Amino acid sequence: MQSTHDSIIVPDIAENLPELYEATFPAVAGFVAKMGGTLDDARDIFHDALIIFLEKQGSVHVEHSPEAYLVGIAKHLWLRQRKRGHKLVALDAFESSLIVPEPERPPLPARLLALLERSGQTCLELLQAYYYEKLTPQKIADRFGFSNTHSAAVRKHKCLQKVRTTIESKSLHHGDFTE
Amino acid sequence: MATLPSNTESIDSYLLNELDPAERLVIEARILTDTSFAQHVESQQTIHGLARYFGRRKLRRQLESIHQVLLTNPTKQSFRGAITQLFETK
Repeated sequence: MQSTHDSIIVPDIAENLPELYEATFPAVAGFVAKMGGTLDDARDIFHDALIIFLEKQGSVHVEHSPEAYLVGIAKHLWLRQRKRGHKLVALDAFESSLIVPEPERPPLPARLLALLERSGQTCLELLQAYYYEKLTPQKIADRFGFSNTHSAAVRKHKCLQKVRTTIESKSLHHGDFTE
Repeated sequence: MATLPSNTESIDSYLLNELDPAERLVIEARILTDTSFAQHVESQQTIHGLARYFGRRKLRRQLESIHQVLLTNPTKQSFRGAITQLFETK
């Protein structure tokens, strides 16, 4: 299993997402257009690149602009998708140094994911706010309507136990959940 | 088997790479010697993966809606014009 420490979303960046999108999409779209791709290709590649960029925010170097990172990541993704019969992509030293992760498979079989969603949407929302968005306890309490950060922490702990019990019991007792 | 909250927290810190090398070694030794603890670590890692999976899906939906606004909203006409022009020249 992949380690989870690369999921670092900086909340300030996430809050300014529309501005970041508007400022950086043209550069990525320009690259994709130059390579003969469509607007839909540009959107798909840009979304993948943006997710990778946002998750890496904690470890990127500040001397390059977000645009430089996004174009660099987009080039890697384009190269990966269009291995044959397309124009070569020139990578500069900075772009070559970028490490772009492979797409990750869902962590559990689809039926178990669906079951978890049906039975515990709020818990999943809470866990993703803690572990993926990495919101501060206060922001989590505000978003989910807890009276204080202690209540939020207690609820998160209960959610963790609940989801863990579901995963462990279904994995152990229901062979049909394994794919 | 119930797990104490402190276990959950130390497993979180381990999975999030927040422990110093000595603390990390203690957890790794326990994973090797205590199968029940090792199973908890594995389940908790799956939960971190779940959080990432649902978090990414939510983020992707958010990006899609930003994209739609930028390419359809009348106030973003010049942005839309610049983008569509990129693809028309091909």
